[in-house]
Amino acid sequence: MDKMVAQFIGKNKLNMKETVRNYFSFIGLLIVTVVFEFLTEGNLLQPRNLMNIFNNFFSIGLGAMGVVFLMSLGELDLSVGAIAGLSAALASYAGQINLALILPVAILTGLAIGLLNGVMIARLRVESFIGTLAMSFVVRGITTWLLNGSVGIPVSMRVFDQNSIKIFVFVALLVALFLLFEFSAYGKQCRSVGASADAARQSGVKVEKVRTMAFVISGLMCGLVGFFSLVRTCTASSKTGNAFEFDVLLAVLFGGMPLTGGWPVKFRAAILGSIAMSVMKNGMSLMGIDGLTQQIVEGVILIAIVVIAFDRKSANVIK
Amino acid sequence: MSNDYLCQAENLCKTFDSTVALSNVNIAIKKGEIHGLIGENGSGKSTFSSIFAGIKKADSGTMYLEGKVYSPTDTIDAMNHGVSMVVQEQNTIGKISVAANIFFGKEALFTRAGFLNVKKMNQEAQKALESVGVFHIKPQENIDKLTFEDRKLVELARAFYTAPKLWIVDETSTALTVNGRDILYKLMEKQRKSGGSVLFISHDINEIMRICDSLTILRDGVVTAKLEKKDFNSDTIKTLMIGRDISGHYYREDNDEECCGDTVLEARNVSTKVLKNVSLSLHKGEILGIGGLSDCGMHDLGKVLFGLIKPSSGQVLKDGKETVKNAAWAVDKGIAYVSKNRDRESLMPICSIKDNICLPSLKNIAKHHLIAKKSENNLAEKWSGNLEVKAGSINEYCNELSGGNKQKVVLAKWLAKGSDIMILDCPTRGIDIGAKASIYHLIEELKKSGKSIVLISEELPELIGMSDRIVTLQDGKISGEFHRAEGLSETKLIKKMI
Repeated sequence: MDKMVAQFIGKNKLNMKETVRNYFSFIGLLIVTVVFEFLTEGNLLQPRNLMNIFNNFFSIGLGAMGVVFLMSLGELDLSVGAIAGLSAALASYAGQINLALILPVAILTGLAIGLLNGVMIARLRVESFIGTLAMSFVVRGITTWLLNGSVGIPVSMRVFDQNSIKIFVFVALLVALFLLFEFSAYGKQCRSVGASADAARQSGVKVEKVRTMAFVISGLMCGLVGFFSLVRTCTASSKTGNAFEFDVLLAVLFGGMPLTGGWPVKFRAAILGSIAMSVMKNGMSLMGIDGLTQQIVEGVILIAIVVIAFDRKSANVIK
Repeated sequence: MSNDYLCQAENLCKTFDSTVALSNVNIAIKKGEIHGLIGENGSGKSTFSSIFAGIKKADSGTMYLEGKVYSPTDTIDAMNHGVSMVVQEQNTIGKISVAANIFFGKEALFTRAGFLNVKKMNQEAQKALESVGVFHIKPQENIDKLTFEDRKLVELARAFYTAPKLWIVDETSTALTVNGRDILYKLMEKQRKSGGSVLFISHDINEIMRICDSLTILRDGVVTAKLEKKDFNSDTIKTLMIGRDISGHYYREDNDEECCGDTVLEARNVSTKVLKNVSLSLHKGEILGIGGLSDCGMHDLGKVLFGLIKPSSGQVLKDGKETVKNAAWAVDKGIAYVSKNRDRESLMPICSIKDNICLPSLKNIAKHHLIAKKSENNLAEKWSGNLEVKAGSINEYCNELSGGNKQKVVLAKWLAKGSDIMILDCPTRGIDIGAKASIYHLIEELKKSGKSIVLISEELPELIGMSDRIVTLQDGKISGEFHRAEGLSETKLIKKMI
């Protein structure tokens, strides 16, 4: 009966929900910025601090852009942090052989684990929530075992940590992924599969291939995140990428990403949400709030977002 | 207040946003009658019934039940007043037993000291099922194991158990086969004899004329006529429903059975779980009808032809040489498929008309791998325009459309793709007569333009009216083949189906 009721009161409510969702990301970003600008007594938007925010935003943004595709399928990837960690670890070992191997190894590692995730979820039909959570344990375990502490790379590799390079890489990926998501057949197929896998299959979409690809994209972006994290600190440790999956998830939800996937998914959710997220993290650091308290605040905010923004009646938040 | 009436509605009005769903509707239902309510999709009949069943509130107007003012707060309140409704969509709760479904919300009846007496509940459920004439469903069975129709029968038992004064049956018969319909009709008869009333909502004019004692016709939220049984006439009813004269041209008018060109799609000794060694071929420009009872395997056959179900043995060949590999391959090669289950399989409901129409054609309209908004809009505008999809714009979500318009979107999607072979599984299921007529017309046009069509249908007049050739299935095997001819009757087909 619920379904019918929803159908009948549907129209008005849908429009309101839609409006909230459409502007949720903008409103959220604005509120976060204003609140922290005020709380940090104007330090937040100082030019020097903006660069700090960007550095924070850079990896969250890469991760968030990577998961847009699989989230539009209504899936989750809880292994992004673990993938970044293993990519950094393997890349640092590769760096001991030849420095030129660092980038390709990082990317290939991400790609390979993304492919494993994809096969597991698309072909073996494991729920993504469970599957990627399990994958994250496996990958973290391998990383810790491999590293046995931490492994460094020459400090000369920090040349890749320049802002100019990062901005260029980010903008290039932003444009490419935005076009892929909003204007290519693949991006539209992702949202179609998220909206109805049966309807998509019966319209000629290769559902399994689309699903697998989405996890590959996410893995690839995590490989890059691992690389840039490695060249920033010049060490890979078992802590690399720790809780990164949580940052990414919180960022996209902040941006108004619906967990149910489908056509309401907008690419800008990833970008705006990541900015809001990094502004928030940076603001809290500026205020001298310690890491543990930050975690608590972030957890509470995640719950609050889900409460405010989602139609819990029709959406299975976690399938 | 006259005592002859069980319930009355006076000047009911209801609007959604700017759409007027009901405007000053007056309907009175006598005690001991089956009252029909008929109208096109979007005419307001479901709105009316859901107001009466307590699902929705009217903006203004008054309802009376047995002479007293009646305004149910919700469905449970309505049920306590003796108004119970069975709807078109599936409305059972999954993963629990049949008995638990029948007594959902009434478990207290069988609870002692906090423990549910399952045995007693099952016994009572058995009685409830038998009282509606259903003997083949076991109460302890898991509801998910039941067929769509059996689940519907469980709903009937549930609704009837409450011994309602007014029983609202909202388009339930479209979900049922001949057998199920018989049970439904008998129940309605029983309800009438016991002095209760039935409000029967349907698209099907013949069904309404056969069963109902009186009839209210709605068009665009306004009552256009009230008829008594003696005044029933199908052409009059059609005209009053649609507002224009559409008698006559409905199905194909010619009787030529064209024996057509080359074989375009062919099943060779196909077997699946359901199908047994089925071979048939579709020729260019032919409408091949496939008929049978709903579990005879004809729906599976459609899916096999489209590559959605892999046959365990045998093969499906396109143009006599290439094997149909999967649905994506089939779409690429110009095969289209319209599922019986429109809302779950053919359409994305939370998605615009435009995106639904463009989905199979995305690769065709892409330039350098990118798709311009303009080419999407053009494609969608063109085909939703050609098929006269009634909607504010192509950006409207499909879940807001009526059944007929949804089906037009599905067909538009395949026409936009330019598919040559169309496999249509119950293309007019649950669609009002206006949209039905335009779909029949379209099928005829497609045939004329050289496209080949497989028409799978549970409605025999539709098969006889449209097909060049009809193949009947029984228990997964081909049981008969009929060619288009003037004297072809339903009885001849039924003999081969049962």
